[in-house]
Formats: sequence, structure tokens, C-alpha cells
Amino acid sequence: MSTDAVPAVQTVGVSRRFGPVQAIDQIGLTVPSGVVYGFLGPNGAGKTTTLRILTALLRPDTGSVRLFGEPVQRGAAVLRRIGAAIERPAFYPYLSGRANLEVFGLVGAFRYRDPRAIDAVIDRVGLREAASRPFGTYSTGMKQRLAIGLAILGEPALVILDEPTSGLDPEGIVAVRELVQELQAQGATVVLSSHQLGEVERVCSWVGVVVRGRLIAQGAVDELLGQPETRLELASKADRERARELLAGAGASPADRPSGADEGTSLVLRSGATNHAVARLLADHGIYPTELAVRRRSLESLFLELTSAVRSGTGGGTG
Amino acid sequence: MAAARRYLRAQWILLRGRREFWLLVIAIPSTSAFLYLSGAIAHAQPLDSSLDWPPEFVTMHQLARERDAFPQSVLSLLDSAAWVAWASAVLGALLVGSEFGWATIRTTLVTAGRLEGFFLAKVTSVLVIAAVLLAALVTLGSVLPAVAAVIGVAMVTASPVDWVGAAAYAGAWFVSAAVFGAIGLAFGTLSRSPVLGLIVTLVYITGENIVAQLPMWAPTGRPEGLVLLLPVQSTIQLVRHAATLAGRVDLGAALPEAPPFGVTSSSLLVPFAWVIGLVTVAVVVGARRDIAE
Repeated sequence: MSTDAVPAVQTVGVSRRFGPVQAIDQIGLTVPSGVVYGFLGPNGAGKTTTLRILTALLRPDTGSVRLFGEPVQRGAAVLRRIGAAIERPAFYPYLSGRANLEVFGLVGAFRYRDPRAIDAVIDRVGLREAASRPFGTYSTGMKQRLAIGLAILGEPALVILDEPTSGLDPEGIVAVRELVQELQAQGATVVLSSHQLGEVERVCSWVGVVVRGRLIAQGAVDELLGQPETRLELASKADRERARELLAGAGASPADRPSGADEGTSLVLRSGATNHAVARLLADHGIYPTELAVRRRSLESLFLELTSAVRSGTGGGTG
Repeated sequence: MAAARRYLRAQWILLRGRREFWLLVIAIPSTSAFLYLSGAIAHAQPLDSSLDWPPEFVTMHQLARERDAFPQSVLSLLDSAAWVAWASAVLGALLVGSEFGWATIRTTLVTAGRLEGFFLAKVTSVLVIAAVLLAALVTLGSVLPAVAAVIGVAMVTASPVDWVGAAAYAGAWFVSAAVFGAIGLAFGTLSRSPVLGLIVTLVYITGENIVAQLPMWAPTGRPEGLVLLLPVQSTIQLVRHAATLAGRVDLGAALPEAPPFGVTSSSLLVPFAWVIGLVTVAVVVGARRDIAE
């Protein structure tokens, strides 16, 4: 993935007010081409409003929106390169899932030339068994899958999914995850909003966090979460002190020094040193950790930190 | 052209899945045929000569038999086209209003910038259905007298028909269907609900007819002035005028006190203006409005 290319999505100073409510305020999203971008935020933070603006369903009061470098407005040619599942999944209830996709294949942004494309999409979202049933008889999860199917029909370059795993069972959540990874592998950019932070962390390489209508953090997941930590549990305090000295004197860069310790027998390293190298160094000096684990700060903890900082009034900058 | 074909194909997929559509396209011709045949059988029965029938009644009986015979039968069947107009109103409200209730549909169309085209395809599909139904009525009017004769109904010789006028009569019903469809379309779009749009449409059309029948229009017994400019009343004027041009046998002519029917040529253009105005409002409002939060 090259982040030097024209971003798939770029918004500058986008704001939108609904009556007295400032839904979003000066949102500046940048989604590099080819990434899976997780758009996170509490309920009512402005995620859906932002996604609607990206797809020209709403006009911003201020600011500009560009997709693949082209300005967005209703009917813009660039909108034909995107697929979106933003609203609640609602199709013609009396038509089958296949017939619904057929209708949109005919009148949607893209033009499907091969009816087999619809069958392929139905297979991808796991609706083959139910494809001939009326949409009105679908379960919530099946409706959601059909909406995702519609979003990916026509192989769009940008796929926007609002809460794609909402209403899905665990099997469905895994299927959506695999689908998103497949889309990325095929070169598509995916923007998805979700409350399932574990899922987002698994599939997204970039995230943006919006709270109270403002984008408070944005960037590559690895950068936002920082280096992974190596946690060592040693047999005694004496071992811990020796291990601290050994690791500090191992010629590591300052960042490789032990940065802190729990009370007792634990050591925490925030370094790029591999488990293998640490274990070898200590074993050579007769120190055998009882536990050696690499842990990374979770997206959930980052999200909670950021949102609580905004709520307590100590945060709010755009990352 | 290719886009129009795609839109219409999509409309066909939508229509063929709707029970209302099949109900209307089957019920209107079949009910018209049934009523024609049952009427023709009843009219063919000779009046009991032992009774002293009023002369108007005898004349009406003769006229009714004449209306059953070809070529007057074509115009008689076209008289049933009021149902086609009602069907257009129903389809206009149901087909278009539904796009607002089912958000994914609207989202996809707006994103694609195809909402206006999709709306126009819906309007076109309503008009195509109306045209097909009218053609079915004309066909039935041409064929059913022969069917009636086969089952033993004695036919009389009918007055000739002005075929250009008959075409105008069918055309007037088509315009009437377009006006009714446009009313349904407009209310369906403005109410953002197929059901509410349908209810408002039916209430409006019925209400306008009730207003036109109020006693205040005496002594002529017919609405005048601005009332004639209302959408439904203006189409009634157009249809009646075209029926006169076609040379339709009018049962009311047998009544000595029948009021003369007059129409001003300028009012004949009013229905066209309603169609254009209502469709434009519906398409512009429907396509430009943001999705409700």
C-alpha cells in the first residue's frame, strides 16, 4: 500500500449542523488508497453524518470532500467508483435478494454486464440458500449481508460500510472480516464504522476517532498504538535487577532500556527486541523468566483513553 | 436510450413482483369483459310488450343495444377506462412513494445520481401500463360483439363511429390516466410513504368529485369556472369532449331534459398542464431532498 498516492478520501474542514445540533465540526479525514480505515466513535459522534457526506447523501455546511482527488457532489462521476451500505438495510420487501440486486445492477451507479456477477456476490455474502426468498422474510443479519452485497456489486474502488457487523452472528462477523480483507487484497479501499473495536483492530490498518463531531485522532494503527511491550515475569527481585542491568547493558538503544517495572518481579520493555533475543540474553546469564509475553496496547484502551479525555475536557486535537 | 431501456427493465422486475400490479392488469380487462357480456345478454331480452313502457325507456333500451354492437362496442368498452385512470393513481402512489420508505434504495440511487431517471422510468412505466390496458379495452370492444353473437346474443346495427374521434377518445382516457398517475406520484413523493400517499390520492380524487357535484353548481348541474381547472374535472371535460367527437351513443340523450354538454377548447389543455406540473414537482422535490435524519 502506498500512502503517497492520491488519497481515496480527503475531507477538509467539513462541518454540518442540524438545527441546534452541530453534528460534525471541521472534520479532516484522510484515507490513503488501498487501506482498510476504521472510523470509530461513540453513538451520536457524527460517524454516519460524515459517511453520508462522503457519498453525497448530505451536503456539508462548510468544507470540501474529495474522493480519489475529485470533488464530490451529487451525480459526480467519481461516485460511480464507490459502493456504500450506510442506511439501515432496506430493500424492496416483495422481491427476492437476487431480484433486488438485479434491479440495482440495472439502475445503480455501475453497470453489471454479466448476470453471473450477481450470483458471485450472493455467494460472497453467504446468501446462496436465501437468494430466491423475498427480502421481507430475511433475518436482520441476512438483510445486512445483502446490503453489503449491494455495496460490493460492481467491484467499487472504495467501499463504505456503516456498522457492517451490526446484527450479525459470530459466523457472519467472521465472514464480513474475511470479505473486507479480500476487498483490500483486490486493491479496494474500505472505510468502515463499527463499535466492535476488536474487529476493527483485526482488519483495519488505519483508524480515525470522532467524538462529539470532532476528529480527535487519525493515523496508522501501528503508529497510534505504539510499539508493542514485552512483559517479563522473573523468579525473584534479584533476578529482576540482574535482568534490568543485562538488558540495559546489552547495547540496546535508549528505547530498549527497561522503561519501568511493576512492584515485585516484573519488567516491561518497550522495545523492538525480539522475544528470542531477550530470552537468549537472560538464559546465557542463568536467568529464566517464568513468563515472557509481548503485549500491545489495544485499540479499545486507546479509544477509551481518547474519548474519556475529550469528555473530561483534556483532549480534542486531531491526530 | 440504453439507460432508458435499463431503467424500464428494472421497473419491469419491480412490477412483476407486485400483487397490486397483477390484480389491476387482470381485473380491469376481465371485469370490463364480464360486464359487457352480461349487459349485452340482458339488453338482448325483448321488452315485455304487454306492459306500457315510457317512450324514453324504450329509446334507452334501443340505445343500449346499439352500444353493445360493433363499432359502438369499442367506445362502450373504453367507457370502463375510468378504472385505468384509478389504477394509474394507485400505481403512481405505490411505485414512487416506496422509494422513500426503503432507505437503501434511495441511498443507492442518490449516490449514483440516478434518482431523476429512475423516477421518470416509473412515470413511464405507469403510462405504459395505462396504454396497455386501454389497448386491451379497445381489443375487447372489437372482439366481444362476435363472442356475444356466438353465444346467441342478437345484435342490432350500430351507429357509425368516427375513428379519428375514437382514437381521440382513447387518447383522452390516456391523458386522464396520466393526470391520475401524476396525482398519485405527487402525493406519494410529498408524503414519503406509499400507503399515506395512496390514501391521500384516493381522498383527493374522491373529494374533488364530491365538490364538483355540490348543489351550488345548479341550475346547469355541471361545475363551472375554476372548478373546471382542477385536475380531475379537467380530464372529465376532455374525455366527454372526445366521446362526442367519436360519435358515442349517449344513453342520456334519450332524456328530454338532458342538459347540453358544452366545453371550452382552452380547458382541454388543462390536463396536460397538470401532468407536466405534478410530475415536475414530484421529480424535483423527490430528487433534491436530503434524506431525513
